[in-house]
Amino acid sequence: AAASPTVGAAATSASSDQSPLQNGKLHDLVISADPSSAPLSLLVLLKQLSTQCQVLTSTFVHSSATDTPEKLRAFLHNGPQTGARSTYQLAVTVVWKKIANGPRMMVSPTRQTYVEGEANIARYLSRLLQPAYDSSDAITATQIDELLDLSQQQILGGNNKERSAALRTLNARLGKAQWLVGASLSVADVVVWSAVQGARLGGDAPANVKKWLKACGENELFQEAVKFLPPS
Amino acid sequence: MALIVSISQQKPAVGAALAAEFLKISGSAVNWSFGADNSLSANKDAVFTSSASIGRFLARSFPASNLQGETILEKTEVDHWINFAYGQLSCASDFATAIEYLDYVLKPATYLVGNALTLADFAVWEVLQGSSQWQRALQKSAPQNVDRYYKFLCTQAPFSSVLPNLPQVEVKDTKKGDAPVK
Repeated sequence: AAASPTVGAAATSASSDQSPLQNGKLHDLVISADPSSAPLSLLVLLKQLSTQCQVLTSTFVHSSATDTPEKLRAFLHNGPQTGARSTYQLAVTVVWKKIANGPRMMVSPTRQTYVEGEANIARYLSRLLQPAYDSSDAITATQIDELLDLSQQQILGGNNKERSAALRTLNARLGKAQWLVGASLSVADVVVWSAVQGARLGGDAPANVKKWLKACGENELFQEAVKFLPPS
Repeated sequence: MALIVSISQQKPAVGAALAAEFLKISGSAVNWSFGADNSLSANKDAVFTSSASIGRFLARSFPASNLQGETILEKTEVDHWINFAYGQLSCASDFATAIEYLDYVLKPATYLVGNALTLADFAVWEVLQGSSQWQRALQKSAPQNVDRYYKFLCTQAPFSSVLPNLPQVEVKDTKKGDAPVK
């Protein structure tokens, strides 16, 4: 039988890194996002997380974003939730809201700090998925970071020239390999896919990038996310 | 075998130099020197050339340094500040808003993440130090929390040993009509 698809490196290696995901304790994440740029990578990573733990999800619309399309109001939906909150380990809430600089994640409200940017939220989820994310393979993790930075700064935050340069970089990498980093799908593929789609660059992308976008879209983990692709 | 980091004399990846110097001082097997470019060869196929990547690779190679932060939330906050430093804070038109936000966050804090130096401080200090807008603000009136934070770091290792070796930052006056001062 084929192994189930995984995002990230191999099985968790022995490490002292502690995951905040524990039985009997609900880890709460609140993500505010602008309905004009839905963080599609979140859906892929949550799909992955739901194979490891019980995830409780919900979506709200803030009064600043009452024009949120009907479709996005069900961005994170659960089937009928069975059992008490205590049977879940992770609670993820998306709040559609008018905000300027990409989605924001609040993990610990008492600390009053937030983490900004889809790439950084994805980094946090990857660390939840795999507590040894940083320590198991320093080279791969740093190469993934370079692509996450590229998605954030050149694709989502860049001008047309920077976006074209980013697509050329991706195309060159994908000429030599099927996935962006290493031999299998990683969080770099998930976040860059989301950024390229969100910036509506798929239509004019160079050949290797187009082929890779298609491969991502056909991957089992992306099936929820592709439902929310912006119309091309 | 020690990790060897080269730092460009002309366009130094200051954050990377700070991380390398921090690790060197604390006895880790890292050596750095000024050279033609910014680079760290992790192996024959992986060469890192940006401040963020060299810093991240160094921090991951020496996890006991906690340069990435301690918990997974701290590690992600460090990533947030790296993006902030090389994104908004590096962009002239966003600079004023970015400094205002930084000042707000630093009000109750000595360091950006947790209670110790991390890559977040190295990245933000790099951008402030190299910014003529910030150097100009320091001469006139800078927001007090960023001012305190920046000056405190300047006196601490590894900043105090790296700073004298950095290129002079030109403090340009942006007022139009001013002739360049020779």
